[in-house]
Amino acid sequence: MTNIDNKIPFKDHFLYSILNPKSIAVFGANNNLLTTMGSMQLRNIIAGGGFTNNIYPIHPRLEEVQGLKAYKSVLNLPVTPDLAFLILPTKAIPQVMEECGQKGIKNLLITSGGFRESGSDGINLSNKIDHIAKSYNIRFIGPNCLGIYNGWYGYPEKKSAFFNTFWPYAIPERGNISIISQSGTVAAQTFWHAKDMGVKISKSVSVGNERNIDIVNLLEYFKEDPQTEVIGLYIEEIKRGKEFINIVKKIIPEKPIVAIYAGGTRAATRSIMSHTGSIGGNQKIYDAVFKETGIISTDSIMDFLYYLRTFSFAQKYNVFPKGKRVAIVTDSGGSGSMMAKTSELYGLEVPEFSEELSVQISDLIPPTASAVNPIDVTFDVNFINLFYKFPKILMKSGEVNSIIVYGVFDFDDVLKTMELSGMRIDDSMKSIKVMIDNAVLKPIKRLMRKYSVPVFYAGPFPYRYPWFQKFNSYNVPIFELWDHPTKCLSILSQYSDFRKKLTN
Amino acid sequence: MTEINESRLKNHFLYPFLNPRSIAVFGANNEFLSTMGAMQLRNIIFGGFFTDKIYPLHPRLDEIQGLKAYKSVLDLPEIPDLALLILPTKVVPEVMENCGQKGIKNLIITSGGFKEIGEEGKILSDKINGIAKNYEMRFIGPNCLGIYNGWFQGEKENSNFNTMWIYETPERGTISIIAQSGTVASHLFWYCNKIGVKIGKSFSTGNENNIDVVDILEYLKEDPQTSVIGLYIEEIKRGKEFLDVVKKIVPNKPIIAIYAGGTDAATRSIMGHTGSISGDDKIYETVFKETGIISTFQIKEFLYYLRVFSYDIIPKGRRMGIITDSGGCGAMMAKAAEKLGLIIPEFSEQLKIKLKKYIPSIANIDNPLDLTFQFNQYNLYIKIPKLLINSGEIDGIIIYAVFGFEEILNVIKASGGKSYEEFDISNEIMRGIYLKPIQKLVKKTRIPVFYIGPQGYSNPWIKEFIKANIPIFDLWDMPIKCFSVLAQYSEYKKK
Repeated sequence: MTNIDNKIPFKDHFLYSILNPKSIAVFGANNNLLTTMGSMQLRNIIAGGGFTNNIYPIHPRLEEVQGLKAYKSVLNLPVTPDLAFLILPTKAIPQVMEECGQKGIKNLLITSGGFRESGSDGINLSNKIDHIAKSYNIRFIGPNCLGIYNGWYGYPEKKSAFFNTFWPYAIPERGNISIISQSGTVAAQTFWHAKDMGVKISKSVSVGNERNIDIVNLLEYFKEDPQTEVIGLYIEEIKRGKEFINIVKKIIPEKPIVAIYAGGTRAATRSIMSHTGSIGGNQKIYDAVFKETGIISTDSIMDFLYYLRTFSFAQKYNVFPKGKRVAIVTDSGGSGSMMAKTSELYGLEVPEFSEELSVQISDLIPPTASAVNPIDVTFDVNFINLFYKFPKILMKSGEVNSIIVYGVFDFDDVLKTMELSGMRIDDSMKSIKVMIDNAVLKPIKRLMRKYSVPVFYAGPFPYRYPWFQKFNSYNVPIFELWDHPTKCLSILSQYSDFRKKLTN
Repeated sequence: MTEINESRLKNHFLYPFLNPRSIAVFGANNEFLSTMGAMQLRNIIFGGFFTDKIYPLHPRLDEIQGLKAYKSVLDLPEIPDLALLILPTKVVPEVMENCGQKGIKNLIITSGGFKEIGEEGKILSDKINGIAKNYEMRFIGPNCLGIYNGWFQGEKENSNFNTMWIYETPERGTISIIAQSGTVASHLFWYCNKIGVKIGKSFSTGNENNIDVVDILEYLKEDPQTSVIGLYIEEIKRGKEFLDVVKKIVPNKPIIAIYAGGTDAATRSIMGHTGSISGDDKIYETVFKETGIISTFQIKEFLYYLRVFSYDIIPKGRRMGIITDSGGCGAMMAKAAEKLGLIIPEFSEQLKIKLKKYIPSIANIDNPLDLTFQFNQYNLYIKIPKLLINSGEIDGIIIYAVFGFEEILNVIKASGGKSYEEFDISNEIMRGIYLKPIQKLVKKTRIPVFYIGPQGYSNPWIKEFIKANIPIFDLWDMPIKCFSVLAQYSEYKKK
């Protein structure tokens, strides 16, 4: 079992101070938050709460930017910042880099686009900045990127600070998932969604054109980083193929990797060329690499987020199913039939129960209900049975490796409706909210760990409802509707199987 | 297009099921929490039913949820249009007899425990069929949740008729659902409200002893309030009749279907659920293909497909233009599109020259079109889509990303930033400037324009799209899938 809350970051690497700079110079921010991307980025750095007086906006004219004293030149700064952040017109970059080098700044984030992805002028400029970096021993992320999000900024000295250089302001809960992305959108614009569905992010890095720091560098860091237990990749091109395969092979037995490869079709290749300037490769090559290394791959952004969340849970509590046999318990036949179907389509098994187990289950359900797998308990308000007793019996039986329970409702919403309809809601009913913590969520997590049998819950409410958020706050996997539980279980058992083979 | 009432169907036998003027309810009490029937009665009351025409029946209680209760159906002052039975299985035959004697012709039987539980249930099943025949009754069920009719007393704004226990009701629209699962017929309403799937009618048909999918399809075929139909199928009892009616419906009203059978475990599940014996996936696939039914085994796709068809803009072909402010999702959409057989054509030189005016110098002019970060909303919403539509080079457009500025401005304000009072970018104004002109063009040219807003469905600006029936998505998987089924339907229709 691991407990990330006690984990300090991996410090012995050049990326540590890029992810946790103590001071930062920001070029390209002003006070027009709506029209200048850099202004929003500075705003988000301030909002992270980790810096005190160590943010230095650089601006040719303004005296003050967003309440901070601004400097005309980086050379005037009272200190040498750990990191410089450049959101500037492309042409100004070499000059500013030179000055940063003269000041002694060693780490840069270059957001500006307009390099190799936009033709021969851009390629010249690219070479120029490579050269400047080399002569000053500068490392940099980008260009053509959104930079970094670190949910564990300064931890453990700083308790709840984050470091966000992206322009989107939505902040997901922090957790054990780190993302490396050759797309700023995948790195940052998924955060609203991540927040909603409980994808808990440790770090997210938009790597852009990877002129200097690439996926492989970051993988090396995340391999050692105790705050990272699951890795998500968005790939358009892998520059250092051999190194990539080597590092990934070392990571996978410890930390699952979920990857999107966006190339492989003609239109995608065209799109990628203008995006990061990469030449997208052949799908078959990537498929072979993913298969050999055990990377879980997907073309769907929704699947990507769900798979990361699934592994985040499995890693945090060390709950990996020992096989493909799944039990499905529902209060509704339709969702049961559909999940039974998708289970088999995704390579899981929905085994028939033994005679003894069927009898045990029959004792707990109405006579009109069905005790075969999938179990259909029909309309039954005893949710302790549905949420806890059935899973417990199923775990003890040893007949299944994972369990899906459909029928989670937001009970607050249900009670509110009843109260509005004239029913008296007494205190014992209201205490249900507390009861679920002690009678379901805490003990089921214990059982999941004990038997290494994951229990996935699903219900018809969107995530924003408080009961669904409650499951999320306990890191108990909860799903709105029933498409993803079977998909995620299938991926989880696929990885478990792969990992078992590697370690045997 | 949509008529307010369905009066032309007044003489159809299903009409009083959807629009009863009086109802007897068996099996409700005052215990919402433990009795499903109590919730069902509650929902009927809250839908705005004429309260003096709801007759709860109960052996002991005198009053239920504020309504006078009766001991026997025979005591009722009138013959109700419909009786709803939520009772223990064993008492169903006797209550049916009583209803028959009273002269009630239409029943919804919620109770389970019939053929889905084996031999004993089958005997009971035959018995209720016999009683119905004797008294010339029609009934929905057993083992179902009944009906939701969002157009009940359609002239009133928030009126509905809901016999299901789920109390959430979707916004009224032209999508109708027929499901051999109460869950699919009703549990989806929360999610429908999240993403804006506007439902008019939903039927949970249960075991279909008397009224089946085909009966309801025949009704919806003629129903002016239905423009799209969703089906959840575990078994089709009358195959030939199903094919006949579906073939007539699909050219006018698209049908989206989930077939839940076809695997071993699914077959077991279905046997325990509605007692049906499900068939081979291949047979169903062939049927769907032949009849032009769009099929899926994912519940979210089901809802998204229903939603996109309800907007009633069917593209003429498979060519898509993708506009983004971000390369990553453009590449992913391009890949997904080609995998699904859609075409992302390169733009002609003339079009590229026209586009050049609006594209920042660092972005390349290609399809997908990557505008990179820009706050020139007018280009994103109006100028560029207009150029693409007028070029004739594409059949549909996806725009990533639209952002709600109210939320962004609030964030800015909370950070002590400028208040931007000189900009009036309220959602009201934005809708007028950014959405209306394009939607006019969409209607005229029949070229769908999809929008993606990563802030998600709870954002007020995103809600504006839903209100106005404009296709909006929160991430970029579904728009491609939705466009591909639109194109598929369009091609079927041409044939």
